[in-house]
Amino acid sequence: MKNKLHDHTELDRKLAEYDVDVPYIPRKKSRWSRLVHYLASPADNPVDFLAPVRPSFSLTSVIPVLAAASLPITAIFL
Amino acid sequence: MNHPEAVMEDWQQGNEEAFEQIYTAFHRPVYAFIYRYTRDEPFSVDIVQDTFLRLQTHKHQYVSSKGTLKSYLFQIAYRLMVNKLNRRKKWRSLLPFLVPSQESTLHPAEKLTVQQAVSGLPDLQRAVILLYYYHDLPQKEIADILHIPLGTVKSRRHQAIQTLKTHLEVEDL
Repeated sequence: MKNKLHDHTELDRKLAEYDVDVPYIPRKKSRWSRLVHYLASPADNPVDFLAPVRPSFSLTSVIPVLAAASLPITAIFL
Repeated sequence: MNHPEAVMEDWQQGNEEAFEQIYTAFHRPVYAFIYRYTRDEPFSVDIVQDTFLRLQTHKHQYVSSKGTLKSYLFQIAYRLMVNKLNRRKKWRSLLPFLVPSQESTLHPAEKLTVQQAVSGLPDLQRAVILLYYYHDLPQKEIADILHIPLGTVKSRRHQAIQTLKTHLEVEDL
């Protein structure tokens, strides 16, 4: 690196710590592998608003259990 | 590698092996620039591949009298990256969960690593400091790559240095 930040030797030293490992990069890549990369990248949870704020039973966990339990109970009365 | 511009000329005249030399010499620096800017490995790999694909399809548009091959490649890569990031931003506003999530921010009391400090710089300051410091590009070439005036490059470089010094707790000499 020739372009040192003049009179900033300490900063030069810190910036020099930032190394980058370059992975193997083929010259061409198929659309398929681009799609796989895209699908594998982390994304936000679309139903994040349903997640409980405090540790408790959330509606999403209770509703299926109640629904499953109510089916045999209903069957008894039929 | 011989003089890159001479190798490029060789390739323009039909020597396909010359492209291999260009790819070998420049794909790592282009990747390092994009990676340090975005800190996103698959994204950076895509940009490197798109950059060399663009170079292949427009190889006769390069004129050595207008600038070095290195700055020409960085210019292509930077434009592709900015376009793709802007597209991502649009998608994020339409369908927020489909776009890769951002890394969490640090608590202000935590000391930043150099990676975090560089990532935290505003876009233009980050591009200037990366091209200037890690890729040895003269400020005139940086201005050409980023399509900004030379004076803006100088001021952004100065601001970036001050910001980095503050965040990395580096003393003024």
